[in-house]
Amino acid sequence: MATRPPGVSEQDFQRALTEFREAVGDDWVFSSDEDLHAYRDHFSYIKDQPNELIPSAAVGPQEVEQVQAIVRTANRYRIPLYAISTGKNFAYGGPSPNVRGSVTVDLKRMNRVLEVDASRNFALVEPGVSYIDLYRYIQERGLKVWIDTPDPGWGSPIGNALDHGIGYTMGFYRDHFGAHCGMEVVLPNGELMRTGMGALPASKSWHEYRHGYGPDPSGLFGQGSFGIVTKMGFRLMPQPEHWRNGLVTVPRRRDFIALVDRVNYMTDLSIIGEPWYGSPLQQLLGNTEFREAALAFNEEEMDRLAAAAGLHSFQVELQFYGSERTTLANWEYAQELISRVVPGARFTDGESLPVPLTHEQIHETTGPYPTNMRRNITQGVPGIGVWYQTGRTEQNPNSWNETHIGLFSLVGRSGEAVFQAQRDFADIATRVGMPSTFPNAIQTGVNWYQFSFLMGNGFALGGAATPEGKQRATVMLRRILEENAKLGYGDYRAPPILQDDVANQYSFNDHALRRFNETLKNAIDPNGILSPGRAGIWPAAYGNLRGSLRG
Amino acid sequence: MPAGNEPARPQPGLFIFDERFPDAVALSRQAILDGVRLASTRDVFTNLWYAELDMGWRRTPGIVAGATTDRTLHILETLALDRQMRVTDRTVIGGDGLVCWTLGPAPRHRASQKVTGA
Repeated sequence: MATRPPGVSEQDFQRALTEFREAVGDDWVFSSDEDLHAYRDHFSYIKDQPNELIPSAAVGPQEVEQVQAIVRTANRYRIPLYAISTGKNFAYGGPSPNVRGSVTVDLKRMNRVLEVDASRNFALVEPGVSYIDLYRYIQERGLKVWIDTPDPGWGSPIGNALDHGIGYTMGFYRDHFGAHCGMEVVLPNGELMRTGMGALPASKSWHEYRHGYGPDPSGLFGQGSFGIVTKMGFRLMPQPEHWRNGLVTVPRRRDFIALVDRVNYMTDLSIIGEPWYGSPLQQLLGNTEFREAALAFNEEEMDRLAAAAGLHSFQVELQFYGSERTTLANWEYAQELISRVVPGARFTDGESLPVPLTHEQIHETTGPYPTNMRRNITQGVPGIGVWYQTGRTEQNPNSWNETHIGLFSLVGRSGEAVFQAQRDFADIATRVGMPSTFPNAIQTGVNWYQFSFLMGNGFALGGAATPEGKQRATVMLRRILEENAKLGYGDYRAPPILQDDVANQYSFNDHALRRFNETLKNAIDPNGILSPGRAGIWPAAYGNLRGSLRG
Repeated sequence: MPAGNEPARPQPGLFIFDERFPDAVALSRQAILDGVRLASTRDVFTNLWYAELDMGWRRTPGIVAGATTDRTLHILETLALDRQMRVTDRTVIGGDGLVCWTLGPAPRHRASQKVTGA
């Protein structure tokens, strides 16, 4: 399995490894197969293939100065680096680089929580800090602030935010990159830079005013290859006194449009946290008549069968944060708003609990109504349980899901847009030869990002257990991405094997955005050493590798 | 007891078992007899991780054994890699997804443990 960085002689590679050891110590430079096992993407469609994106070595710095030394060495020997924080970006490539033979810069030893201010509501952390670490830090000190955690919470706030990850509490905090405030970055030449107010040496507001003065380059470090982020500030949600939830169902299919409209209104007034949409009609999937009507998008028939079964068509679970009185007032207001526009809407009280919830309350799975909501994440409490959905590693090969790839398209935040996407995704699945067996007509958007929906295409990648099956599935995914893009759907995040494909769809004005990014990349990183190929941005030094994973 | 000339295996400090599986429960009884501390799960072990393993492995990556579902092992293995630990032994027991396993420090960190006396 051993490999070398492309175009680097064995002699230079060994020299570079020696310099890395001088920088971080012998114990923290890894190049054996056993050690590098930890840096493979065990869910990759090209796992065990000759082009698997494995690193040639990994190096684990503990200090910023060590990161700078690593970058300088990499420039000297033209070694491509790929920085990871905790390496758990599974479904989007995990720890694997975009270029086989890169040296992984594993930042998990930089794991200090540098500051949490529970009055001004921010945290400053290093990249190796996980959500669980930050949560523990806050709990141990009894601070009255919440984190907004993804699920599972074993990844890092910095890594998750940089890949535009999401959470589950109030809108502003759910966009993890959007909720960052100030970062420190080792640039491709080894220099250290701070963004926002951090650029003012004596600043006392680094994590309160993000823009600083002049152009703010922070966005370049999100899904980017322009530097290695070594510190990052995040806004934290103050711990509310009370949490309440409630379920709204609407009877007819077309009621979903008004429902989304009113939920948007409440979301953008910061009345509610993340709304969880769904359809009670999942209960009818075993009914052949209903299934056929749903697959055909026969709305009248779907409404008739739903009414006959005594079921409503769509639902949304709302959650409220505040005091007991304000959460009750907001729940009553939600009922009033929705009742005005959806005759026959039903409202079911959920739980009403003082915060912080007890351990038992957080893990309680029963309630006034069936729910898919995992309560811990609505309370900013990280867990790892959701990862039971998937899994496969070298030592643990008996997978129940052979691979695991996350692909979600941005969809407009309206009922009409969701209905259109349902039909478009069904049509696309048919066009690429994988007609959907799950009725898209009852699929809803997820509102992880406050101002948009994300929707998966909803198809089954059966038979992906063999290399040939994986290859077929990858070709299929690429076709779906192309077809999606023709209709205006783009993905927000992708694993390395699909990043060129996704980037290729963002092609307005002859790929002006990509050309702009690559012009910057070549100017800032002339040797192209930092994460070449990340998000489809290829520096000139590695330009020949663009699209190379397409085979 | 090791048979014949087989070298003695280091004793785990903790045995994690899934209480839903009779085979796992039986193995846990044997572990008690060997003086090993027990922790039970029902698949999800976030609490065990948060309350014990995370902090314990930070201090001293020791040997942990278990009889759990392969899903639980997968998560433990992923978390163990962060502490330079590896799955060193893995045996499938029966056809219901139960796996008997051992996790321990990776070789180079075993050596450094000796030096530090950890």
